[in-house]
Amino acid sequence: MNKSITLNHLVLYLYNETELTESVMVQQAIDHDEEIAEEFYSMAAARDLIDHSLMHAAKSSINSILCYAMLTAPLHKKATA
Amino acid sequence: MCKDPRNDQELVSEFLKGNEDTLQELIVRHERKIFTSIYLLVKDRDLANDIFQETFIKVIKTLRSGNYNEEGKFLSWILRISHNLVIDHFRSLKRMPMVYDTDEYSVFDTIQLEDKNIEDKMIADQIQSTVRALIEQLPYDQREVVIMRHFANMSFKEIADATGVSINTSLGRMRYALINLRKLIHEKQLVISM
Repeated sequence: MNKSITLNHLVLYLYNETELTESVMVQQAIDHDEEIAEEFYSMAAARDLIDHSLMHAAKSSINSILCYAMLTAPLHKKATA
Repeated sequence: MCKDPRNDQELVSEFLKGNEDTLQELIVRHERKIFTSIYLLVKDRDLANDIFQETFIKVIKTLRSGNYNEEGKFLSWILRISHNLVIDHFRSLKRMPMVYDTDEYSVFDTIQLEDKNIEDKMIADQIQSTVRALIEQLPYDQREVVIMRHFANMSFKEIADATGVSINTSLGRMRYALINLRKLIHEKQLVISM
């Protein structure tokens, strides 16, 4: 593995948190080192999965929050709403 | 022609002027990230809904008290509130959540993601629940970083500051989380196509 690139650099690059010069360096390492490329694409695949885990809160929870907001709204604001 | 959606700060200002509808807009915009973040930490849907409600009640109270001053970081702010409420919950139980063994975890026994004939929505639902099940199995520290980075859009520096560790530690936790997710997928021989 390219000694100037650490695994932490790969994580930062994966999440677009590297500076431009660092990004170029990491991308070159990915392009020229199979070990680094394998590590990077394996992490990228796992990262992409995470965003597919989103779920909804219960509608009753959302309704309760909205009811709370309405019932506790300051009086002068209720009047102007 | 579509109007540009108002940003969070504009919606908050409208809410404080008495326009209650904007609260609904804010909730609809962010509820999935907030609820999933809570659920992944407590691993219980009912409890997650309770903490979700509690979070927004605290949000409403704080907004109305005039103590909200984090422009542009509304989601991160709410997620910090929900995260603190989760910690309070575990403190009240006098324990922190532990990683549990995966051998008896039943969800994987019933997943058939290869079936091409399943309706798209069912496939999407299964992928979601599979991925959630995988994330739930990560150690708490790793789950926390995943939630903060993916759902709160916090940088690794911000995560490090929020959790009281070095940036290298938060990067290491994320790296292990990603590696562990891949490992779990291989171990369970899951086929997840998106």
